[in-house]
Amino acid sequence: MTSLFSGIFAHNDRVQMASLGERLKRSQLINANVANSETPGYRALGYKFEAQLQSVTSKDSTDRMRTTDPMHYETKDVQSNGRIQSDVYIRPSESFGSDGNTVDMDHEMAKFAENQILYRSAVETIKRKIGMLRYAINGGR
Amino acid sequence: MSSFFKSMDISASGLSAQRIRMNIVSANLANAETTRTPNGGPYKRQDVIFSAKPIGPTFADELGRHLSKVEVTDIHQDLREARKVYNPSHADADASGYVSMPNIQVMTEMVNMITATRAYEANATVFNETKNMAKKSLEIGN
Repeated sequence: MTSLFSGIFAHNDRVQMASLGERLKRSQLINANVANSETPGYRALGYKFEAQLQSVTSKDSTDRMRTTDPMHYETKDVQSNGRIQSDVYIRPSESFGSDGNTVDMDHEMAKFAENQILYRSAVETIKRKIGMLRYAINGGR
Repeated sequence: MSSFFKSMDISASGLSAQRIRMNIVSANLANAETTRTPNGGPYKRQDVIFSAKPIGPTFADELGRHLSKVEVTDIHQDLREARKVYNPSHADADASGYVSMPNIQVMTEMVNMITATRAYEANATVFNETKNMAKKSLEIGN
């Protein structure tokens, strides 16, 4: 998302585009959890980025903060290249089986469905935005 | 786009691990009454060992250090004692009339089979949905 498009794509469009990548990462994580649902000792992973996305986007500036000098401070939620700092963690679980595996299949499937729907809705939003641009480019025809 | 393929790769590892497990369960059930093997003695029950295998350096970002595929690292033999059944008319009966039967319990194998099926289905579902996500992303700009 360079500044080249900043006039065409509004800030929230860019947020939608950034969220696609994060949703994809989350789906990879869920895939790994499901694949290892029978592996002894495997600890289920969680992935969190909404809070970070929110704190980045709630700022008034349309561009994210970047650090380009060692003297710059890095904020907690943004990496030096201006990307969102996402958070992978081992999900705490109250129940695990005799083999130490903490994958909760229902939880994983529910998270996957949610992720899928939000991904599709983000794609749909971007699609319509581009449709509007195309409408304008064609002079309303 | 390649991230989608990595995603599918992880699911595929789950599918193939469960398929191997299913093959082992089939072998166990088929040989539940086998009293002769090339190594001598009755058939011994087999079981798979799953282990999580980190995807490693193909992921450039920190997520790659956490994600793991599943792989079958070993197929081990269940070393429990053979089941002794009194059947003097059997060709493999010993001097006191007992036959050494495989150490297989059909119920255990059935439970194993159902678990493998469920896990396979879950992986297949996740795989398909990932594919749908990839297809959906191709709609951008249409």
